[in-house]
Amino acid sequence: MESSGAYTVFIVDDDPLIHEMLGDHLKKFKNIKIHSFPDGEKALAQMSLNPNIIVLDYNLTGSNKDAMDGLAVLKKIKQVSPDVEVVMLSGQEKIEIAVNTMKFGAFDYVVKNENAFLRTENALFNILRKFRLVRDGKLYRKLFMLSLIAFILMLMVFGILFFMGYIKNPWEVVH
Amino acid sequence: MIIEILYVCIMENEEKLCDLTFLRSFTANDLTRMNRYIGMFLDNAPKLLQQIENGRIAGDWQTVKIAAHSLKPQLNYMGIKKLQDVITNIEFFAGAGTNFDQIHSLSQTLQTVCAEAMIELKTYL
Repeated sequence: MESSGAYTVFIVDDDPLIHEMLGDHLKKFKNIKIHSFPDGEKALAQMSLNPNIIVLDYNLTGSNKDAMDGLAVLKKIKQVSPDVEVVMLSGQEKIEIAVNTMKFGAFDYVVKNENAFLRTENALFNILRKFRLVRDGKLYRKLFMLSLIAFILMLMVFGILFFMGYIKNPWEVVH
Repeated sequence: MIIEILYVCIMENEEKLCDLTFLRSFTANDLTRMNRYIGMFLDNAPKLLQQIENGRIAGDWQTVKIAAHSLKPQLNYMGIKKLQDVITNIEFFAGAGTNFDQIHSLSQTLQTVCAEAMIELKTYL
């Protein structure tokens, strides 16, 4: 399943029903493009698509016993692309699993119950807001640097003009 | 008269194995989407049930645990509440490698109730 948008989201789960339901539910985000993968290996092979967010199942061995589990995939993702935000999905409501996934850099941990879709939507909303804040922060930093450079250049020009005698008193120019 | 209607409604609800309240709310009563999800469950669940059965017969508890883990949320979304504790216990006992006798009886319940629930779900399509 694919949709068009500014942010790329991977859904990695071996359950086709979750793919379909989650993919449909997240369509309300108009600015995301969704790619679905049945296991971590296939998702990792497509990291060149530069995903911004990965919704990753904790237990990925349902259809293939030899498949990497979610935690191993999470570690690999963070090694390859530390800026990618990962939301872990799990059928188990265990605090130690949640803590472990957070320790390895997951943004949030969602239990696969009836609230899972809403909670995943909230997690995505928060991640997208974080991305916007980071982007705005970078923009403001650039603007600040440009203003600072312009101010320093202006001071230099005034200084040169002052020392060359074109300006007797800089305040005369300002006022 | 009203009491009779209420009684019939209550009895009908009690007899149903699948409570589609979540699915209706999730799809905003979109029948096409509901049918698609039910169809996917009907395709997928028998494979997982078979894995549980094969694992149970072979004593491969890891397979039983993994298949039960995959089936658990699907049963939840289809509102088969009667099997929630059953599947949770199968997953737990298989994972812990204990209570094998209970796994056998729970697995039989799972197979029987799931078969009935799937027949019921087919009527919604």
